[in-house]
Amino acid sequence: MTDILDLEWKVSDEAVANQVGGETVILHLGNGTYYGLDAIGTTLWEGLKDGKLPSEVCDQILAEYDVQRQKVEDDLRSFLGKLEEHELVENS
Amino acid sequence: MIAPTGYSISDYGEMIVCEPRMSTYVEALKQAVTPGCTVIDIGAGFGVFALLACKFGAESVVAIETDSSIELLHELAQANGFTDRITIVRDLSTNFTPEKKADVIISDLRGTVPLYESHIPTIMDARERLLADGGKLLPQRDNLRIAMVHAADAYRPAAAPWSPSKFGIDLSAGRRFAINDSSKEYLKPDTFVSDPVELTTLDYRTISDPNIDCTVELTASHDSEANGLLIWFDAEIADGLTYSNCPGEPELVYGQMFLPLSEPIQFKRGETMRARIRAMLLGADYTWNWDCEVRDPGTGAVRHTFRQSTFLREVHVPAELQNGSNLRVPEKTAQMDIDRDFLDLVGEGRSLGDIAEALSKKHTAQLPTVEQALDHVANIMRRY
Repeated sequence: MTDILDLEWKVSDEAVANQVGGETVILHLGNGTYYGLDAIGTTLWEGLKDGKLPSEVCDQILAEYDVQRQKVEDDLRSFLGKLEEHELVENS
Repeated sequence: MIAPTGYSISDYGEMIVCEPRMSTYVEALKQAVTPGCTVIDIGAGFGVFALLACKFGAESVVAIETDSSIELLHELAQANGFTDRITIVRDLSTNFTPEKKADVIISDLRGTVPLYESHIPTIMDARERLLADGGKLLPQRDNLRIAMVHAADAYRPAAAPWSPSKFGIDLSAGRRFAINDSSKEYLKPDTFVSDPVELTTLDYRTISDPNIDCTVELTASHDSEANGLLIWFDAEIADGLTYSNCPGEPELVYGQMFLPLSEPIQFKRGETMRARIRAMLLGADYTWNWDCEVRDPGTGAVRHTFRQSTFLREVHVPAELQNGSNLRVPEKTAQMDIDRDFLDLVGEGRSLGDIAEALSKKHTAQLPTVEQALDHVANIMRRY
């Protein structure tokens, strides 16, 4: 089974995202729910928008922050799962 | 469900002289009212339609309005001899239950376009609860129309302030917000880049969804740059009684809604834009979303693609959004203590002045004077 970090994702047509000050607020147009992303979440979101694989975003985060690869990968998997669960991203 | 409008009496005066809007409404009302019938005027303002309904023979008229402008109707009803036939309800129509359902419901709750605040849910509620079987809704239908336009003046606020300025500072970050802001315009037909097409029809006799999600193809009618989309509506107040705020028609109070494009696009005659327009009622008002795609007519490759939304015109901060989150565990503040004490004192037969004095004594740091305490309780009272 392919690791979700190696899958291609696209931002859902239902999601509109507004980034300011390194943080992001997403509005889901279908249900009117707002979601907030911190700096790391914003890095992933912007990466997906630019067509990057999550694994590539992981490398980018490792280059910017002094953290362990395993922790970043686990966090990104969990975070991606939540984005998918809330229909903010989908497999492309 | 329509909250206080913020219109002044002068604003309502403008609506009365707005032609052909007013004459069309008046003729529709005249035709709909039959001797002895009941009329409900929703969002009545100071009640001009309520007065006219009486003049045309209605037996009883209910004028519903949350704004204080409705208080003028007492005087106007007396001046016209209609006091015994008009009932004034200063509330939301959704809170009102009539003794007798209406034969005619008249309203104009639109903004620049009919998808405005709680207009559609209010009409849906009125149709189901307030209108008698076979009763008439005025207006009965609006047709939304859309065209590509080139409007330099309308586009200026989205572009000019954020371009390199003579002051030598970089303001470009503001552009991504400004470019997502809609505006009310009065454009002329010479701004059209495409012929208008129908976006959707809002038939108030059957409508059940306040949101729209429509995709249209807009074809350039001549070689031109386009910098925005323009949306307006053709109103059908009753059969055969219509008006339009289309460019080229007499200017009405509504204007037209301009949605700027992220970047101006050069079109050759016959080239098309595919535009998906979504208007979603979120909370008290609509979020407008316009996703535009232009393909190269030769290769079919995407030449331009924009995703824009009025949601993006505001600076949203995640921490502030937490106030509405179901996961938030709020902490008690001194302000909350004041409000709780105020509510505890209400209903004991004490005046606001007495209550303000008591609050000022107990919460001296926050309310050092009775005047400040009175201001504070007056603000709380407005919520109720």
